[in-house]
Order: sequence, then C-alpha cells, then structure tokens
Amino acid sequence: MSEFIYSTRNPQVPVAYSRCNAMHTQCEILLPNMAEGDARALVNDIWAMVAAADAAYNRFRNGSPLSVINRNAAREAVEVDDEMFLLLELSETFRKSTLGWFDITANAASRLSDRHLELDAARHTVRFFSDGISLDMGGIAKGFVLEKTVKMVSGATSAALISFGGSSTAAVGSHPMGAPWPVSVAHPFYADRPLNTFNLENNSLSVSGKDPSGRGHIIDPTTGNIVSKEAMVAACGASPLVTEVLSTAMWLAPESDRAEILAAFTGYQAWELLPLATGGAKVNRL
Amino acid sequence: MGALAAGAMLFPWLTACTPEKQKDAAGGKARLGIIGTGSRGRFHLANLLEDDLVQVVAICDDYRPHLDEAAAMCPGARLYSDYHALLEDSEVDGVVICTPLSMHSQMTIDSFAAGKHVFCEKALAWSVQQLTDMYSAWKASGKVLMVGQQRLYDPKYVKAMELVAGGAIGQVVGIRNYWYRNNDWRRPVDDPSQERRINWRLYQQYSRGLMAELACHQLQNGSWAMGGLRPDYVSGTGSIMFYKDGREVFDNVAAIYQYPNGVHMTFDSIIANKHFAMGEQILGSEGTIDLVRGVMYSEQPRRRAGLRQMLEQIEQGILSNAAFAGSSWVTEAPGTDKGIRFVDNVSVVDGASSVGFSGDGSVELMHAYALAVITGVQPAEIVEEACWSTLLALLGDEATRTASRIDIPKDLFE
Repeated sequence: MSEFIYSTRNPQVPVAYSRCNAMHTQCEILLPNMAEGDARALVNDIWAMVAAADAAYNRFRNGSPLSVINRNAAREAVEVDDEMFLLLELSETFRKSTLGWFDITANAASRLSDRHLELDAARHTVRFFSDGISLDMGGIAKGFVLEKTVKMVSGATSAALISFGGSSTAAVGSHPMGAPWPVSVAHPFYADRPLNTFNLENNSLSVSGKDPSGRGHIIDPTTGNIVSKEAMVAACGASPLVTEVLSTAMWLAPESDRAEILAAFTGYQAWELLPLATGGAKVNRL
Repeated sequence: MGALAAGAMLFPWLTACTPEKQKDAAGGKARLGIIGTGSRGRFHLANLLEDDLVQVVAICDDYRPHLDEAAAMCPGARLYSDYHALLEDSEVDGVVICTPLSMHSQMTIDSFAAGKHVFCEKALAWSVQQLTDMYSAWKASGKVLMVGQQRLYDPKYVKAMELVAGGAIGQVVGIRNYWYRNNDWRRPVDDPSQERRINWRLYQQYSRGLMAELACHQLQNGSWAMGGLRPDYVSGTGSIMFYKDGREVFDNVAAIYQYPNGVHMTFDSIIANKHFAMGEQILGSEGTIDLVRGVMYSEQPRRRAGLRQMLEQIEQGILSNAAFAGSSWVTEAPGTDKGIRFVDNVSVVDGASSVGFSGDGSVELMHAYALAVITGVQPAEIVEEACWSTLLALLGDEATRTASRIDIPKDLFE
C-alpha cells in the first residue's frame, strides 16, 4: 500500500509526494519539478525495489533469505545471492572499522568470540561458527536500500528528499527554493523546538537512539543487551549506507572509541544530541 | 538558590531569595529559636546549624529527653521548657515551630504577638478556625510567616511546574498522589503515661492523621499544577483496618478533590503496604510528569509530520525546516515512553521517613526563612499556598472521617 500525491498548488514548483510502509517504518519521497507521470513511474519502481528488499532482509519473515541463513547457517554453509553476499561483506568490513560496535550478530546468544560468521567469497556462502547466532540486518539494510533509492532517483531527476522512518534521510540536489534541504531532528515533546537542524545537499543524515516511543532497540554487541539512553547520535556524509552504520556505532561506542571510529570514515561527521526538557538539545560535535 | 531564582516569574515566593536579595542579607544573622525539638525539630536544627545566615540562640521543649538531644547539637543555645519564656527572649528574631499539629495555631499567634517572625511546620493548623485565626494574626503582624511546605523550594518541583505552565504536557487532566508505608507510625514510649504525648500523631485530639501529615504536601501539587485553581469539593473515605492498637486516626484513606473544570485530584495512603511507596503524578493530555522521579513522559510519542510537512511548505512557496528526522519511527510503536529526566541529580525518596529527606527542598526553605528574617521581607504568596494546602488536608480528613462530600470555601485567605 502506498500513497501518491501530485501537487501544483505552487505553479512554480509542482511537487510529487509518495509514502509507503516498509521495513517496519514509513518511507517517504518528495520529488519537486518532475512531470506527474514520470514521478509516479519512478516511485512505483522504488517501492517495488523496497518491497523486495524488505522481503529479503526481514529476519522475521518465514522463508526470507535472511531467515533461511539464520535457520541453517550453524549447521551448513548457506549459499546466498550477490546482493546478500555484498551486504554481508560490507557488514564485516564495518564491524572491523567501527571497532566491533556495529555488528549484525549483536544478538548472538554466545559472546565468547568477536567473530561469529565465515564468508566464502568463492562459493558465496555464509556459515556461523556456533549455534545461537542470528543475523539482524536492521542496522544496515535501510541504509543499503536508501542508497539504492538515491541511485534510482539521481538517474531520473535533479532534486529529491527521501526519508526512511526519519532515521535515514537522503537529499538529492537542493531544495526547489534554491538552498540546501533543511532537515531538523525532532524533539520527543516539542514539534516546534527540534534538537538540531542539518542542511543537506547531495548527502545523507542518519540518527540513532531509542525510538520515538522511548523503547530501546539497539543491541550492545559486547553484552547482547538492549541499550537505552537519552542522547541520540546524528551522522552526516555522502553515503546513506555509511551514515546508518556510523550513527549506530557512534551511539553505542564509549567516548574513548569514538574518535578512532570517526577517523576511519573520511568525510563523515557525527554529533551527539541530548534532548533538553524545555526543547532543543545539548549538541556535542564528536 | 540561583537555579530556583530562574523560575521566579512563575513562583512569586522565590523572588525573596534571588542573588540580589541574598546580597541584602550579607553580613546579617537570623537569630532563631526552635520550639519543639522532636525528630522534625532536630532535622531542621541540623540544617540550620549548617547555614551561615543562621544563629540558633534558643531551643525549647517541655519533653526533657528531646531538649537534651537538641542541646547537645548546639551547646551555646539557651534552653527553655516553656515557649512563652522563649518568646520573651529579646535576642530571638524568629521562631521555628515543630510541635504537634494541635499546638501550631496558638504558638504562632503568640509568637506574632511577641514580635517574632515565624516558621511553622505543616500542616498549619488542626482546624479550619485555627487556620483562619493564624492567617488573620499574620496579616495583622507585619511579620514573616513561612511554612514547612518544602516542595515549594525543591528545584525538581519548581522545574516541573514550569514545564506544566509552559504547556509541555498539554491540558492537565488529572493529578494522582499516593503515599504508602509499612510501619505503624509509632514512636517508642518508655513511660506509658507519655503515650499520647509522644505518639500524638495517632490521636484525634492532636492530629488530623494521614491527611494532615502526608497529604498536605502532595495536595499542594494540585494548586500548582492547576495554575492556582482551587477545588470545589472533596469526597473521601478511610478506616482503621490493620493497626487496631487503640489509635484514633485512620491507617488508610482515600480522598478525591474535584476542580471547577472537572479535573480530579486524588490522594490515597496505606501504612500497611509500602510496595508502591510514594507517587505524585500530573497527568496531561499530551504527557505525564512524575514529580517524585523528576521524569516527564510523552502521552503518545509525537508522530512526526514527515516529509508531508515539507510538501505543504513548498506548496506555499516557503523554504523552512521540517522536523521529521530522528531515531526510526516504528509503525506499530506502543505507548511505552520511558520518559525524559527534567532535572539532573534527582534524589528519589520513598516517603518512608517521618522526619525528612535529604535534597527535598528543606535546606532551601530554611535558608529562605533566614533571609526573610534578616531582611524582614515576606516571600510572596507562600502563606496563601500553605493555607490552601492545610485547608485541603483538613477538609479531606473531615470527608474521610464522615465518608461524605465537603464543599470547599474559596474566600478564607483574601
């Protein structure tokens, strides 16, 4: 189910808007200055791609490629398609470059080893080292799909704003009024007193923290426990895939690890945002 | 005190302790006499002895063991067994009254007659008549009257009320207060003839029970949260269902106050179960404030407007920010907000102590009294706030004792 709106209320800037629920959240696209038919065709293609990815990377969906890995990889090497293998390789690379704080095996029952899976590049297979391991792509799949979306949009138009649940936002080009897209991080209580505003232009913003209901959902890979703390972390840079990973890792990592992690991601920036009870936030550049 | 002064526009009594006012008191000393040196009196005494603005010059109690304990804390103070004699002490500028409830009124009136400033523990009076007599005596005296409603000076409560007044939780739709303990509320008595004197809280002649001793603090929350609106009536009930030891006051009560706009404030207390301890909650249409823990909860996670907000801005030719970014919005998000702390270093108390708690505003309150004694400036509206708290407690007690609905007069403190 998706919604599509094409507005010409501002004759200078016709704008298409579309949203659909996927990947456990609301995905939205804003496309200014596109013909209606072109915009509709583009979002239909995008939502089809998103739905396919949602089916593949949803570990709770019975029969999804990820659920097949989680069910069988402790017993045997599981062969996966190119995209899944790429994502697994990227995840391992990010695990190392974030000093282990980004880890798709973070919910592993056993915390005895820092490495839980083996990838065979020649055979495109994945195998777990022990029972009790399962992969959760939640921390990377959204960024990966958003990156694919940006590529599709960039091939069709010069400006767009795309948000996947508010936690991952990508800007293509600039705002139709001729400036960067001003994207604010919402305060949990005050709609008019955001935590901070980021000006996006051909780059991405990811925000990590407890979800808007106050529920923690990010797992500490060193303990296997869900982490809950007030502060959020925002990461900004060219790739939505990287900012997604970076914001998660920087949110989890202790202060002592943060500089080293950030140094591994050239061209990327991160901030800690501590919501204030009266609105706004204490903003700390990391 | 500086942090408190920031909220002074909303809390008139705090204007008396701004940094400027503190300068007015520089070099001065409030020479105080303590009347009643039981557990609460000694709690205040310990705080006063740490305050540079205070010199405790006299202490008084007609129960010798209590007087001796207090004398050991401040060896230089003159000792009295009759408060009338203390009031004749010309070196006493102000008194601190920490005696059983039934004595508050006469002692306060006598203190004003002797030209003393007065700090009186809450609840102010045992009866409504005594309360209005005290209020009239204070008005005629030109002296300072402060009351042991320490929440008025607790930074956590001040901040919370600032948030409520600023609309952070929307419209106030309810106020819930409870106070649970699991102890018999008795003090040890060596001499049986001293039973009623030591355990005065248990006897109707001296005490108004849980409503005066516990509810009085929490009912004040209602006045604060409702922006000064006062309830129309109170209904209640209570009983002695566990401690059937000859006491006359209830060991469990429940009272409901209704405001003119239909909002209810509840208070209930049981002293035979402590599991839920103490709670003071302001319920709003958009959020909840837990006063005890210093946490504010969103009633419903504010659903972010998303990109549709930016669509509308573009339609209107506006370039503006849209606040849709944040941690991932979950489509099936349950309403289980874990809240946001609105003050740092919150000291959460369980309400078990009958004496007092560290960090509950008592130190700030007594310091404010000392300032007021030195400068002679009465902190605004604190007397009215305290009178209303006592009035609500007394009428709540009457409602629980008669299991009836009591109308609340609105014109007693004008």
